Amino acid sequence: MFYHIALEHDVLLHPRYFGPQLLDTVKQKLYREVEGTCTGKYGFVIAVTHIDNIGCGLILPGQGFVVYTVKYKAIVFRPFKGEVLEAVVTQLNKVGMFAEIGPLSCFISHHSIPSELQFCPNTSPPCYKSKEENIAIQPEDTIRLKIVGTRVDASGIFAIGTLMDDYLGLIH
Amino acid sequence: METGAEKIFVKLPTVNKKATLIKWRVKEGTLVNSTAVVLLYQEDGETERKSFRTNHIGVVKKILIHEGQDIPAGHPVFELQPGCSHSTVVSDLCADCGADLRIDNAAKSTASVSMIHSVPDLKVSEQSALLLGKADEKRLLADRKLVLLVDLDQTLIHTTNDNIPNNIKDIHHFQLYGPNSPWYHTRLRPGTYNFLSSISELYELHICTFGARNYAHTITHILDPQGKLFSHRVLSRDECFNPNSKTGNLKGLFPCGDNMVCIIDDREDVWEYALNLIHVKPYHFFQHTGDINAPPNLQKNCENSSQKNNRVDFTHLVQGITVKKKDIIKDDAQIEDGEVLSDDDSQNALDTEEKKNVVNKDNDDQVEVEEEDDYLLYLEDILKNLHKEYFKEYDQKCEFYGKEVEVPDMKRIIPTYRSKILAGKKLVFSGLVPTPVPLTESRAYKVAQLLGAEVTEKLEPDTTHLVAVRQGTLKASAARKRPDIKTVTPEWLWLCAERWEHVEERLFPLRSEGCGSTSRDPPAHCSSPEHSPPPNQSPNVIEQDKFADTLNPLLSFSDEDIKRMAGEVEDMTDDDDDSCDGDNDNNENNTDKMLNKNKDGNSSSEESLAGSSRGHKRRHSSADSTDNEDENESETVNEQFRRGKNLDDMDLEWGNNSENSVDPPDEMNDSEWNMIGAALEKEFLEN
Repeated sequence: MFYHIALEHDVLLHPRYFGPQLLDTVKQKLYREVEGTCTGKYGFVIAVTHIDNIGCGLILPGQGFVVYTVKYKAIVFRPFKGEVLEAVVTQLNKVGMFAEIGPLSCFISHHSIPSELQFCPNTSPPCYKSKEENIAIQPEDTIRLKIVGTRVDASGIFAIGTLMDDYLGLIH
Repeated sequence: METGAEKIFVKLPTVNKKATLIKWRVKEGTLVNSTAVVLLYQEDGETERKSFRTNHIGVVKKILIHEGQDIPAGHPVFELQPGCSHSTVVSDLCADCGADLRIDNAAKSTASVSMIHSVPDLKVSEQSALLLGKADEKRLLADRKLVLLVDLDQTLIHTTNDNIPNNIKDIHHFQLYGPNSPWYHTRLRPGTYNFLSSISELYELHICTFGARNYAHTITHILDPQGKLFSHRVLSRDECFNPNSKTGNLKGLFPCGDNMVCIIDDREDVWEYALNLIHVKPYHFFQHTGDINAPPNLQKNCENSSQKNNRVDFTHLVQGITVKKKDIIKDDAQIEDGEVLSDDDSQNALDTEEKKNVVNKDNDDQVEVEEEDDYLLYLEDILKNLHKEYFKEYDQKCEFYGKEVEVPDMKRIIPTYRSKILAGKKLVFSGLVPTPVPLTESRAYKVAQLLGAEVTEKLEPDTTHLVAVRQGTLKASAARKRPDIKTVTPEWLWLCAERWEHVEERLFPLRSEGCGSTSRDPPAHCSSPEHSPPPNQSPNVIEQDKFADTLNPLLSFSDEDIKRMAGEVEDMTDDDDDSCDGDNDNNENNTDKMLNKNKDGNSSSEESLAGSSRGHKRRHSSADSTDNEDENESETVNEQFRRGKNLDDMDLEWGNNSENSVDPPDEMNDSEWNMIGAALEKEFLEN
């Protein structure tokens, strides 16, 4: 789910940037440091939309570095258990399929793929398809899935999905 | 819902109403969780279809009501075995129920088998692995395919980090780690695309490499841009459990055993000398570079010095020297003069390169380097035959036992197939095994054994072949009197071992002293004498000899020329120093003999080259124009290298001054001859 929330971040700046462009540098550094990152609590920071306040810089004693506490608003993406999302299939194998929802990667076990869809390793690329061959899920296809579990690591979030529900599966 | 002892009888929420079951969305044995729709039903008197899901996680044990049947009010519809066995786990998340196995300590996962090459994090339980493996096996059998594990470095490609000019055709240049990272230059082995596409009809191809994941996937993309051949079946160093061995992952990839697996790799040690391994001849293209992805403590020690002239030195290419292809017509086995037309000053620098490379400069400044490596053609044949053997046996088994049979084992089929190559042949070695080494311990013996030949110490009534290093030994003279014994050079044996076929003996006649080859050992890259002798050797070893033996320059000369050459030979041998005086006499005596012999030998080799499909050297028909001279390029052993160089020098001389001088081979390498002399002495003493 996407949220637009207020966040805070400490920007540490080298004294060489002290000058007329100081605040611009702080903003640039903030964008660089937070966009695309992931925290367990708020999920992926997609984009910083607005900078509310750049606090007064605090010079660190003995170093000369300055710390700005920046308050900003950002769009974040936080996947939840039970959420239904659209994803792009990246890889299919006999154990299941991998899909990506933007920065979030997700695995769907073959137990969670409707049993009428069978894995066909011989086609190129491999796919999951139904006996009547009217549905075939291939890499690059868009599917709708439901998240059944998430794992939040320091580096990112990983999700487990399922296609076993109404209206889930390939989106035409 | 009623909870039984263990099972749960699941009922619909329609407590007081009858309903009709429209469709099951699950089968018996399916795992269901709270999100999964189990069935569709319709309540009495309503038109709306409702979907039903349980609140439990578990496996559907038994379906009690079938599609279309009415469900009496309060009647259970199926039995549920509650609980998830967490049989599929990705980074400690159960992929079936979504449970976090790190939090839920009680939840013990049985998942331990990594089944997917590129995602070692994804594990399944042994039970599901077996199921999946069985399904794979069934599918392979239905498609009549086997599994082929393909190594990359030095098997299909050669990669270097050295500086390579970017004007050479067919070399792929890429960086892996951003703009400032080192460049990689990759050359595919000649015929790789053809090999892969034709072999992929019989084998399911997997890549198993010690390259990093990034590297492996880049190469895979080069080999297979559409992803048709390998798909995602790429196992790289990042996914390998053991940094020095590739066998560790096999159990996971093939939970039902590796009965249908065949491996091609340029080194046996990383596979722990598996029986289903075909040890291929390493591919070398770039000078000074071995396998850039060799496991750290398993570097090959034999390479650096040995295969130098097997590789390309690009220095002359950078200088823009145009080297013209030598016009040597294969059928006639002739060498024409002026083979090397290059800048005068680079004559020396080019001595060995042209032997292997025909270098053309195109208009668009792309330099094309052709090389003589047709090993993949033979490998393709080997694999096709193995496939045939395998399914022949499978079909027989099927006929005999019916449909459900245990699949034949590649680990048995491959050695059996190999041992049929020279089956029924009885070999005797002469000058091949050093005296202190017992015959049965020698490498040559083991090679012959693997090929199914019998080796005896002495000539016996039913001996078929004498493998001799040179003429003049007791055994050789004895064999000459018996027309039923074919006398061949050791290269014949090595070539049989490399190509896995019975090579025509006439291509390897034992020459008089000078021309005889002396490679007693299988080429050095064939390591692992302990376990199994190398199934392959460098063809180049033989090529070089073949050049000396069969590509007879003398035929293209007039009688006068030959006389003149013979005279020159005598002059030269007179000049020769005394380090090989024993050979001097021989040489003079033998000059004429040698010439005659060479004529004979050549005509026979011509016949076989033209007549039999198993010619000495096979190549793409498009490459037919390449000259025989090319065959004489490279070798793996130091000695041969030195000798090869001499040959090449000799060869250049013909080209340069067209004086038609024949170097007496005796002056090739004194120390070597001394060695042979010593060995011969020993043999004489022994006899």
